Amino acid sequence: MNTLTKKQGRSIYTPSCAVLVPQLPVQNFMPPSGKPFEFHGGVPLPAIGAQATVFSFLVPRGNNGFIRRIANVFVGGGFTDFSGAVVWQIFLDINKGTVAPNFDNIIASLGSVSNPSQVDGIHIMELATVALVVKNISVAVAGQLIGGRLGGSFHSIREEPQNIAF
Amino acid sequence: MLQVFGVPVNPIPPALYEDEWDDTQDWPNDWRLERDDAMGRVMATRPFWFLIYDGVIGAQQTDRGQITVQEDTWLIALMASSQQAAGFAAQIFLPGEETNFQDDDVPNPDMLGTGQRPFYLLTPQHIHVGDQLESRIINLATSSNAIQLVGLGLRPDTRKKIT
Repeated sequence: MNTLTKKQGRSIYTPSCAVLVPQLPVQNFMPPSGKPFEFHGGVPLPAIGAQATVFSFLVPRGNNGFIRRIANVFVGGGFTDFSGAVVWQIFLDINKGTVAPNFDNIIASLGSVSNPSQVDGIHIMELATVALVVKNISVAVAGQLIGGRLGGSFHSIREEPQNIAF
Repeated sequence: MLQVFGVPVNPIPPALYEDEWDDTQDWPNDWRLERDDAMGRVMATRPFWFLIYDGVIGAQQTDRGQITVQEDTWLIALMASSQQAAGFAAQIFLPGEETNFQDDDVPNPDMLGTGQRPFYLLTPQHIHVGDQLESRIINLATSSNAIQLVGLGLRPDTRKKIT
């Protein structure tokens, strides 16, 4: 059966003729088949020692994706960036418990919801439930809110180069 | 495929059919010669074990391991240990070959054996001298976890004469 799957080495990055039509890298730019997303949400600060899911979303079937913008904020008093009193984590799949490498111990606000910071692409996989999680280490709860935003796009799996690693 | 002299293209399949090594049966001579030659090449390699990753990872955090292969090697089995029962997820890469062993993070019970029951690869992986073997390890436990990932390899035995 003539299927186009990444494992068979038939991604669109394999030129079918002598001329390779250039395409911007999918990890940095949304391809033509991409579907953008800007998931965001907020939760009350959980109790000391507890964690809460700020928001989560499902990667659609047949699609992988890249997160290219991130924001995580603390609304209220009692917290200072880098104090370690609150820790955020991005989960590649909250159901499997896999955190995103290098985004597993965020101790400061990396961007505001209205002005998120750019990252080079966190690879998220088909049917994974991606989540932003917050852990309250030592902030006394007094009505504070935790918010966040993850922006990027989904794309058809065959848009990916074969040697993509992360 | 680049090969070092004396390293068989794939030394494993002849060794797997051990039950066929029955001297009471009258095999055709040419067949036996072929098998003997193949087994001779397997005997000319030495097994060795090497650490792919060894570290302690904090609760639900990640780490990366990187080793440089010092000798032309066939990777034939993987084994791992996890201090916590929750285990870990792993991904292994050969960046020099632009090869990923897995597309996604795989929990250790699905991919990695133990010291008593190694996970033998159906297709042994040839790793060239100087290649880097990278690993991405995700601790799935909500507590600190000591994790080791070990590979079983075959490399040429320089003490044996290879014909």
